[in-house]
Amino acid sequence: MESSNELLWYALSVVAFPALIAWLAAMPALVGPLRTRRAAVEMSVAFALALAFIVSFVRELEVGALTRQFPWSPLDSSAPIERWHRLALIALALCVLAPVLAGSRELATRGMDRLLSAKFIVIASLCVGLLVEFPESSALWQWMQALLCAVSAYYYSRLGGAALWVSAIVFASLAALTLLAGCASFAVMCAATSLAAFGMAIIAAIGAWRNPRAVAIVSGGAFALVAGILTASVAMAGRAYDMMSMPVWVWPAVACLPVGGFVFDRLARRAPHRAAATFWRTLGVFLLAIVLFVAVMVLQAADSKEGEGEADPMDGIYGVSSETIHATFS
Amino acid sequence: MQLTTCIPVLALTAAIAFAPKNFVGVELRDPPASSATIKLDAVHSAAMFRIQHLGAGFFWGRFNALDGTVTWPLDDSAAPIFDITAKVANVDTGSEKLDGNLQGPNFFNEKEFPEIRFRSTAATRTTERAWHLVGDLTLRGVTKSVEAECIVAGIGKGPMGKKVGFECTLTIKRSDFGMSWGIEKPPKMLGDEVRLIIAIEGDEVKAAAE
Repeated sequence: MESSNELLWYALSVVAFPALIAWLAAMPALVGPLRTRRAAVEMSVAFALALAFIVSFVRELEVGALTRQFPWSPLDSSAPIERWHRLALIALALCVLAPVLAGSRELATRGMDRLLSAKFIVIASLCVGLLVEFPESSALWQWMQALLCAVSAYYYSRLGGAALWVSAIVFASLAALTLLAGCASFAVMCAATSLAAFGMAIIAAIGAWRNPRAVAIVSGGAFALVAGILTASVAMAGRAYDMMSMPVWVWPAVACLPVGGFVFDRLARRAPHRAAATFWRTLGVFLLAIVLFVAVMVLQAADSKEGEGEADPMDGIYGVSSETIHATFS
Repeated sequence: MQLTTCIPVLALTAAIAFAPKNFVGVELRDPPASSATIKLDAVHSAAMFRIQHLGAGFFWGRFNALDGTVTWPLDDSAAPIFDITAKVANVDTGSEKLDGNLQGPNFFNEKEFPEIRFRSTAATRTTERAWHLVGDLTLRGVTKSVEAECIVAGIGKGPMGKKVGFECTLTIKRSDFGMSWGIEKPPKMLGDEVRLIIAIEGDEVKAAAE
């Protein structure tokens, strides 16, 4: 009984608490007086999403795992910097970039704000692709990482009011996949980010219902930057640390899940009101995620059956192949 | 110098001078000329580890196919010098899924730290063919000094020549090596203390000239 309480407390600490912090950070712009200001909504939602990831990272590991990565931080030799800790650094950079981009877009002339977003996304994608190196990343994978960041951000930017619901589905999918891949900490952080997005989507819906002058959730600009880059980065980290040999295409595919928002594009465009369009876009992503999971499960099951048939009865007895055993005793 | 000061100093000097050879920790920099190099036989060398699971049972796993050498005079006139490497990819718990989890970033992080290495640096004889070793254990990129009890299991004959077996036992705290997942977060999933039994067998490859 005591043990299950402790486990619940842990789940609250690493998943619910970061999500709560994100909700509180976004609250003034979602249900408060700032809901009528486009830049405030864009900035708050984007900032809160990245914040949830960082808080979860710090709760799961320690603050030192983040601060040690700064060049001016005195290194603690007893705990090495692991490459996947860069994910928190990316989230921190996105926390800083989100208000800068939202503010710049607000000040830019109409039309220029899109160009500004594109510039930010391309530069940030190139930085993440070329500077953040996970294990077993060839040059091709580094470029793929940059490309996926940009593609994911582009599709998030076109989701409109469905962006928060979609990001909740995408991060939940990432949580499930990384857990299957043997990366429990990634799963925890993605779950926290997913819960943050889900909660913010509900709060945003309440805010829109309460305030007739409320602006819609802005999916472009800062939100697309944060959600796109975080999604692609976690997916690429999942590929790099996958210890369960999942099909390699799964990771780029999960980063591209926001594309599912356009499966029912015609229905979404013809929707009589904003909520209906949001429903169709969210449904498309949800169905695509289901298809992805079914494919992964089928392939995993097929792989394990194939492996069973090929096994040599001597294999694994001494932990080496039967050929080695026969060679040793001959 | 007063007599009261002289007596303890003289006593200490005498104790060191007349102490039996090898009963104090000896640094293992220069193996004796009579030492043989024993190359580990991967099939018969493994490191078993034991950890408490959910505060209940002790769970055992092993690293198969150890690699490395032991330098030791077969007459036991000096301490064995161990330099052993285990590949994280060779972890074997009997469950493929669990092996994957252990190789993942929460535990051994095989992608970044593919090897675990133990090198003995000092030794004290405890009894005949038994040694208390001090050595450096490198795990997840962290090197810490550890202590191990080691026995010479036996010297036998194989088709290729002499075979020598050793068994070393040590206990470490995995949190000292930055492997803290499951100790407090999530709480009490796995213990911090890990007991290791390194059971090795090797072939004598050369005997230095007397």
